[in-house]
Amino acid sequence: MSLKSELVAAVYSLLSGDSTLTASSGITPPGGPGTPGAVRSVAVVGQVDPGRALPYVRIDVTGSKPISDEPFDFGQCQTQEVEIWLKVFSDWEPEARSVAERLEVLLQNRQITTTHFRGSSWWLDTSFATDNLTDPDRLIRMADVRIGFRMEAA
Amino acid sequence: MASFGTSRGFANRSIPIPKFGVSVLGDLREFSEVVNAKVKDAAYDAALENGPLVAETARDLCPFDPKRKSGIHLRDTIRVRRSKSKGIVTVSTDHGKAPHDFLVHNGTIKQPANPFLYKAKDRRDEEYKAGIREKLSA
Repeated sequence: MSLKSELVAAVYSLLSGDSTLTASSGITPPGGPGTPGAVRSVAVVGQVDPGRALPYVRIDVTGSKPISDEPFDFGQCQTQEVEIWLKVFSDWEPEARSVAERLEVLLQNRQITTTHFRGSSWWLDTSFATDNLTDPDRLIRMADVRIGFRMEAA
Repeated sequence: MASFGTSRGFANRSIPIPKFGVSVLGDLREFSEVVNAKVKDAAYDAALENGPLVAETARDLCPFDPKRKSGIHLRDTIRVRRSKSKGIVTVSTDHGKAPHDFLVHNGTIKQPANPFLYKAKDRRDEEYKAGIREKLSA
């Protein structure tokens, strides 16, 4: 498996295994129980139906770059900096913020170990926006949590 | 009677303490202000040179549909703005001309994120740092 595939699998496993994030009794958005957001799930971009039930967290790999010198033996560079965007989709803005804050906690300086690689994460920034502007009856609140990973061969 | 050992050994020796001191004359705050201003000016001058390069790279990375002949392309709205008073150089898209800019950059529920501005900044980061070093050493 490649570094990025293993990393996505590790992040997916970390997020979907966090009961605070995924359980209905975990994050209670302001407004109390009974408000939208009883079910949360984690998905990977390209493998998710855009029309699935909200809210959910989507994992986007947006880029990577080498952080070691070019290997003189023309081998594959195994030390990389990978950037992943965790996108939160919700139809309720306070919930998008709550989930984003939980993601920041989960992936701030987190040690990541996969089958062939190891490294750590750090939180870069979070921004908020509104999607689906063409349908005012179903506005989707987005939160974009940018996470950087430095990974090397274990 | 023979005596072994002596009471005048190492333990009784006094170890001289070197006398030295540092006295700082003048106002350190003023010194730091001078240094900060010099670094800030160097960073701003380097950013002025680096901004157009970041914009150029962002235009290369920005998604572009060559089939679309009418209207304004997103990549054509990428611009550089500068604020001397704030010491900031900003590379951004023109949201007024291309209101879909953040949807392309940050992604939507239907398409993945494509952060071409962040990528462009990352790619030109080393040149920016080298520019600051050059300005400071000049």
